[in-house]
Amino acid sequence: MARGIGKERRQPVAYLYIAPALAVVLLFSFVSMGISFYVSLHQWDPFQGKGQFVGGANYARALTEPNSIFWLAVRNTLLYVVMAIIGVLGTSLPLALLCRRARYGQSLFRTLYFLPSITPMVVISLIWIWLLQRMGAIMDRSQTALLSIALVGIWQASGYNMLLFLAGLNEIPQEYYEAARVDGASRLQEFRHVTLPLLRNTLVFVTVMVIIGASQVFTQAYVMTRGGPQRSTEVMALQVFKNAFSYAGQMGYASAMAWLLFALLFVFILIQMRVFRSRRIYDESS
Amino acid sequence: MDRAVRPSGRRTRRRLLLAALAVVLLGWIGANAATGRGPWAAAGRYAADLFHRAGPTRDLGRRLQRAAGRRPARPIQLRVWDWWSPSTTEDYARYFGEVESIFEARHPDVDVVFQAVPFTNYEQKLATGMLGDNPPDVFQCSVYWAEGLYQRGMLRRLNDFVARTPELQDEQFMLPALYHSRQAGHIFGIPHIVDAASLLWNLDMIRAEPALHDMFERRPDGTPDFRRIRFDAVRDWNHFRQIAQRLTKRDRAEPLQAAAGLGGKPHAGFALDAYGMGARSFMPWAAANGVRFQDRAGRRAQFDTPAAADTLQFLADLYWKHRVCSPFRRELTSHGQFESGEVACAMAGTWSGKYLVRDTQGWMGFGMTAFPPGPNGRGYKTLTWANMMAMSSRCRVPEVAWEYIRLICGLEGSLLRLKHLNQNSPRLDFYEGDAWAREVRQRPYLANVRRICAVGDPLLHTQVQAVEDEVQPILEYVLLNWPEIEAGRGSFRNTQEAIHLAAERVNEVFRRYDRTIRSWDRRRGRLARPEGK
Repeated sequence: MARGIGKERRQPVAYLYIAPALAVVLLFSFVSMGISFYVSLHQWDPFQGKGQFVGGANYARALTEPNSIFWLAVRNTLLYVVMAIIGVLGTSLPLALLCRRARYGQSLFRTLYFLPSITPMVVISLIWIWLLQRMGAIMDRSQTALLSIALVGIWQASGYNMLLFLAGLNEIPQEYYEAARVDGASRLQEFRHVTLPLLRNTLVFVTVMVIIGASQVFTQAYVMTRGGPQRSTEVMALQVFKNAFSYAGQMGYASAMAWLLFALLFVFILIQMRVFRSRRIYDESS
Repeated sequence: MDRAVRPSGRRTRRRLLLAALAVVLLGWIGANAATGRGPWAAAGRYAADLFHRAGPTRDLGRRLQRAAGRRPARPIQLRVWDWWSPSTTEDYARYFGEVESIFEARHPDVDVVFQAVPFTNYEQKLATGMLGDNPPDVFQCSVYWAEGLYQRGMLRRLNDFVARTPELQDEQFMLPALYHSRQAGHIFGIPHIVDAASLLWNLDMIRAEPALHDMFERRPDGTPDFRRIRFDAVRDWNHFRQIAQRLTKRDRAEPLQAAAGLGGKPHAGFALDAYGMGARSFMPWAAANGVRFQDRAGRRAQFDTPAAADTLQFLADLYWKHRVCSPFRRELTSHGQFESGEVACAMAGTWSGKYLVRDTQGWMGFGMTAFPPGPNGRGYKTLTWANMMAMSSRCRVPEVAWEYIRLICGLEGSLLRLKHLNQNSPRLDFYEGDAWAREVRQRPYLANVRRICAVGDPLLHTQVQAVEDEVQPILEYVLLNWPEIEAGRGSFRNTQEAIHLAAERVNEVFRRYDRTIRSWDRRRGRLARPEGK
């Protein structure tokens, strides 16, 4: 069987089949990334053509310039990511567990929780401005403003991630739970020793996706607070956008910031993958 | 499954074929109808016009005509960009329709092609259009980007055109309207609409306070004209505070919102924006206190002064000390609060009148004034700006584009905009005519508009977004957290410190932008602009 698969992989015609998709990915992802890196080494303005080569000056400016908002944006973004991970995992996993236990109307609940995921973030943000305004000054204080936009992000993302957890939970063979019950395990012990280890792959996937999504947070910050008050919601994507499209001649600096964000994220996810790497394979044979 | 799919696929193909045939037939009729007579030819001409005007078939029609060996009826295309769109409302559709028909009737060779571009993407799309060799020939340009576009070399100098066109000479326009379209003797835009920040007053609420009837104009018999507020109704800042206090109706036991005013409805004296509007709330008041925001060349912030600090203090006091303002609200602007009758006075612009009439269905009596002078101010002030018509540096038909600008920025264009869009004009002769007088009689809130626009200082014009992004968080913080600052627990000790930091940040933006311009100039081989201090 393995040899057969290996043989198929060596079929040159396979490359022909994947060529169109590869071309699209190359053109719209990798070529664009390459251009963005090129731009980050220049002082570049769309109308001024090629731009002036400045080497790593844009990177140095972001990392070392006094009053640079870069580090503030990094701090805010990391804080947001942490809030998002805690919030999304803390809501979507319990929701999935509850949904799985629901005897009636499981599809209804799934649909209801999933609805925010298909609602545009701009609309959600505008609605939450009204809701949060009624709840007091949570958006007005620099200490709580980031939390307020994180709440909105968590609210939107929970339903989608709940579905992923539900799929993961449904993959766990029922026999493990039965065996655990025979051994006298409590519900909490079942969760701790059966559900969590067997959900590891889903957990890693959800966490990675939440980190990636949260580190690119933009819409809430743009619509709800515009980075304020006192820059407490100034996140990386917002800074990149402002520099690229609102400030003249800062496209190179914005690209450098985007690459620094990418590097940061890459390292972060590598570490996380290493920490969470699963050494055991749970299947029926084991 | 196959059976179910096949007929539907056939039907789709048949429909596509029919649609293609219809398009070709329409094109053929159009191409042949130009010279014919009788009802069929007329129908053909109508079809041709439809074919010719509709966006997707426009170029196809021209190609068909060329392929048939015919010269297109209108060989010159004038590409016009605007963020106003014929599809926004019927008024805009009528305005653009009339502009097009007037211009094309006078220039039979020219085909005016409008393209609506959203305001938020305008600058980027313009740059992309230029790079992609598909730029507009002529376009409406906001004061927000005009200076930047010119410095990037995207706008054509218009000095020679202006020199030979008497009706578009500088003396035809009110002075503040010219500020944003000129730099170091270079003209890169001709103003066609003018706006200014203004104070909006709810005249019904003022009328309910007999002590404030002095604020109204007098009729010849000496009685107050409750439809018109005097331009100088508010003497100074103290007087403004007293008026706002009188117009704030509050129950002693309750905070500001629970007030009982006109018809038992609660209202506050004034609405102040804090969220995301810090700089814009502050600047017109600062102008009325003798403060200029920036220098002409865009190199230095000029608002790091005690007068600016006093202005910020005045606004914070209105809210926190005198408590004449409605609560800060993120979800509703001060204009929105004014519109819903929650406040007696709010900051808006001279543009806002027609929207208020539309949204309140004409039931709200309101008027406009400029900002009263502060302790350091000299007379009534505001901030004025005038959007302009500009020609792109890659305009292919400059003479035709200039003719279009002449129409739009001349008296005729101004009257068209008054007729269709209820807009006033930067032109001085516009206010001398019957049309404006008639308009003011019908809509008395316009009475002060000309004077308001005329007393304005220029709106911030260099790197507007970057500057606002620096200033706004600081001013917003002061307005939202003044009690903490006053108690010594804030990020600043006083308003002067906040203003100083804001000015420093703005100077940093200007310095960076100055370096950018120099590098552009060097690359274009132009004479670099002289070194700043």
